[in-house]
Amino acid sequence: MSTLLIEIGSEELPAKLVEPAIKHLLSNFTQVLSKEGIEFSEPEAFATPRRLALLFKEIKTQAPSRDQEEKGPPKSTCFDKDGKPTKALEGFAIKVGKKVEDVEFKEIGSGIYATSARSIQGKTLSDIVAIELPKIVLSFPHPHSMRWDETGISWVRPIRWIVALQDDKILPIVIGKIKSDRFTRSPRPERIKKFEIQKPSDYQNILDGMGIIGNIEKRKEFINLEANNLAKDLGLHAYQDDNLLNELSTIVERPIVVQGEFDENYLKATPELVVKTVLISDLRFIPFVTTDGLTNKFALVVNGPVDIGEAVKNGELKVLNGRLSDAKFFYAEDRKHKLEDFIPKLSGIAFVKGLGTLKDKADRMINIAKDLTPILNERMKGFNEKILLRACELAKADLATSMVQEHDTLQGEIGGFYAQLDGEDTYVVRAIEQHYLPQGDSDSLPGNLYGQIVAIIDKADSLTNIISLGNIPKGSADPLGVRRLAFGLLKLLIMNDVSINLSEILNICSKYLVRPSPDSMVNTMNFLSERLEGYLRANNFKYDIVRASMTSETDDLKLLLAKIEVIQKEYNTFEFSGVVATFKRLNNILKNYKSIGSYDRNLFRDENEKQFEEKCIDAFKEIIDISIKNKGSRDEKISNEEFNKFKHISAVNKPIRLFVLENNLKNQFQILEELTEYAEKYFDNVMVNVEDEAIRSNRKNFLSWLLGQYLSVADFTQIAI
Amino acid sequence: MNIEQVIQTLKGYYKEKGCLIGEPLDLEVGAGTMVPYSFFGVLGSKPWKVAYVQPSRRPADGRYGDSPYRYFIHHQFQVIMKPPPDDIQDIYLESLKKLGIDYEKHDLRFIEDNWESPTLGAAGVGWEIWIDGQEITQFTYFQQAGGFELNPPSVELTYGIERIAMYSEAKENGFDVNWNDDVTYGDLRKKSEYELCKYGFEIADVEALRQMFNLYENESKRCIDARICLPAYEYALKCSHTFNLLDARGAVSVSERPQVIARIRDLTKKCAGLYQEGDQ
Repeated sequence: MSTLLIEIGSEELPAKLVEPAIKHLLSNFTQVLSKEGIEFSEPEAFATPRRLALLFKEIKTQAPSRDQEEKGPPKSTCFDKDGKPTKALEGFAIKVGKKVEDVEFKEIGSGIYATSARSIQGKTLSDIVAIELPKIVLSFPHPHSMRWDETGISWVRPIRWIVALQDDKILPIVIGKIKSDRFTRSPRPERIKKFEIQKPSDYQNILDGMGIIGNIEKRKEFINLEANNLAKDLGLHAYQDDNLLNELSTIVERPIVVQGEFDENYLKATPELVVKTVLISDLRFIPFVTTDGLTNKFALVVNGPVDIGEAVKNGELKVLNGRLSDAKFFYAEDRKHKLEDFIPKLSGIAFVKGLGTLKDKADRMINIAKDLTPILNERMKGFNEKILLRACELAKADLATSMVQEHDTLQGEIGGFYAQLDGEDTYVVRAIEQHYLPQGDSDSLPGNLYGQIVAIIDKADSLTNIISLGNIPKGSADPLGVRRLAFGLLKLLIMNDVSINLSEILNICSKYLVRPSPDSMVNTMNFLSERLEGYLRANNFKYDIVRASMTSETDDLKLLLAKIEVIQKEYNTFEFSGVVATFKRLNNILKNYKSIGSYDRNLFRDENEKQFEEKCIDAFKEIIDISIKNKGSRDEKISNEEFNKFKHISAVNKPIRLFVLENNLKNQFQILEELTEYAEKYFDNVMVNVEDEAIRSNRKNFLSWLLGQYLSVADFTQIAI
Repeated sequence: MNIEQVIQTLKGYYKEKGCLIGEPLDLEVGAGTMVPYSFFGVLGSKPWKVAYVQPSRRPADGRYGDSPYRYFIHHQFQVIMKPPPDDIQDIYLESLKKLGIDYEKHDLRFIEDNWESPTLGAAGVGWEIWIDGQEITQFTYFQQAGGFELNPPSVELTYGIERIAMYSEAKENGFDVNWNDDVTYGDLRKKSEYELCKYGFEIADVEALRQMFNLYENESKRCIDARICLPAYEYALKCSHTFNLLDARGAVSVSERPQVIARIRDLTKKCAGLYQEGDQ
């Protein structure tokens, strides 16, 4: 076994690409090694803004050779009618380097073919590294690729050195103008020095010697621990913010953590959330907190040798004071007015190119809210239209404040805060504050119902308008964040507590489109369906269940989710496979059959078919009964009248929808499962394709109706069991 | 180091590095990048190295001389090298040493910053250079200018002269920085900052500026038709500055903005095209 070290040195990578870059290198390189049959122990990965490295403590330098059988022409074409070798056989013999008479024939599959066994030499590690590594490095996907020299190669940032050592030997790699050698480079801020690496096993020591913590996780732990220790010394805690820690660990390779403090008066004169934003977002400092909130102490992370800590701190404090005094000024300026005074200023700020101003957007949100009111009155106890309209009116106002123009991450939060100071209703305050949620995967929904509704209105309006301009994201480019909007809207519709259907909100939005186009609604629906499937699959639901369920429901997303959950729970049971089997049987027998109308009980000839039909009707009635008995607060969606109609199921009716409410879906599903037994009995005893046309059609019409009932639950042919 | 020393030092240093030392353009521009030394210099494949000071006007950044670091006019020291030397980062860091900034004793960061100028059809990839949390330079690998992919790319270093002098003299307000031994930046610039802002924010005649914009645009187009790219480009720069004045005056509506920018870009792109043709 040998050792292997690869280090790619570059100019400073953007912080957010450091981790993806090392993951790309690690997974692709190990995949290639496995594919080539090279054995290796799990490598150690190092990643800083200036170096990406893999260290293998045990690796084979030579892949074993493999026997491969080459298949030639079929034997029947190898000899002519006189038994002489044909051109086909001669050609094959030349290709495999054998005499014609030495070619063997073997049975492969259902025929006999000319074959030749040959041994394929395994590749050397050196060759694999030389050929594959540059390809892997250069194929790292990233935005804003750049070129930096005459070779025209492009990457995230200029690549400046490559170390490639197999034990004490340099493996040749060439990327652009750079050739591999055995020298790594010192970290900033010192002048670049070269450090010779004799063999891979020295790498860790050399990094240690330079003070570099090469592993991202270890760097993160180190920063976190140091910050917490400094805080503990003062009787405080370091504020825990994973995003901040992640960023800090990817902008330094030699972290030193230093404690600092600012003038306490800033905490009195400026809202805490603003101070926190200045500390975290502007300067990437780690605030120290007590259980009561922020203090004027913090930790800052410096990239460099230990002895520069104090000098740096003074410089950074100057910058911090400048920022805090700006923030104090902006806050004082903003508070000369009420939040509502900023509304007219929204007419001077563009929303999205081609879609007017933020004032137009706020006005649309109010209109959409008005149109939603009847639905909300039905479904939400104690719904107050005034609160919703006020929240929509004020939701975007903070975008015109100095504070948000300086610190855009404060959008929403500052609006809520100013609204509270203005004495607005608490629900209005919370709705303004939370209506940008959810943004990322880990975000929860707004905790407040009005916040959820404003969020739905805001996102649906943005999405429909942006898509109506033709901005459907393709590939990785999505400058307007359409995917994130779609994700947020779907998550809201699936998890909100009000239950607004997708079509309800989209139809209202479509009335107010800035640039209506005939396809905008279809395009929005199609885009959302695609994202919906992706969203559900990302939440660990099986793809076949998602597809099967989406054929019957893509509008009431809460119901869709409930259906999928039930089916996923039942998925591996014997009973469930019965439902799928029944469905597939119905589907097969009705292939190419177009129902010509309802069935007629008087044409039933067999006891079994009468009995089966009765069982079906009973089962469906029971399913609907369960729905009715469990009607909860949000069930005004289906009126009692409609339910009564459902209860009088008769054969002449078209199939009615089952599973219309998510209450007790499991019980409803069990009843469907209990039908399997009778279906089997039916199919065993009743001959559907009989001579008599009237009876045959009647049976098929009955089965069509039944298939329709099942289809209203899900298209079970999509289930892959 | 005072402002004169900063400028002298950088000129001396980049002369040593083989740069032509240019003089500022005698027209109003928003950034050193807009000067023909840079805009035309980065086009084509011929090697090119240049360095110069460029007073840069950004009317909307003016604060009547009240802000410690935001000005109507500030000074950039601009360096272009085509193709970028392999050790360009070290060349840059060495220049900080020459300026008396002992970067080895400070927290030096290369913070991702991708630059784009819609009016010039130009874009680049690079960093803001921070020293102890203070931004002092923009470091960009130019990828595109006038809508053309640059082959080879150029590197552009833009030093904020006021910022560097503030850092070097440890002053918190730029107007307190020394221009030379006798005169401060404030002595020299504060009154004109006030007057320029007064003009830009209050006095400028919007209608007249609009007419000027149209006149400059037409003149630029006539020059393009006559295939003389430098005069055409100079009038495009005048359009750009007039637009900036209108913008500061709050006279450009949201919907109008992208259209005006597109009109300027159209001119600069055509100029770049003419320049390239003439080059061949």
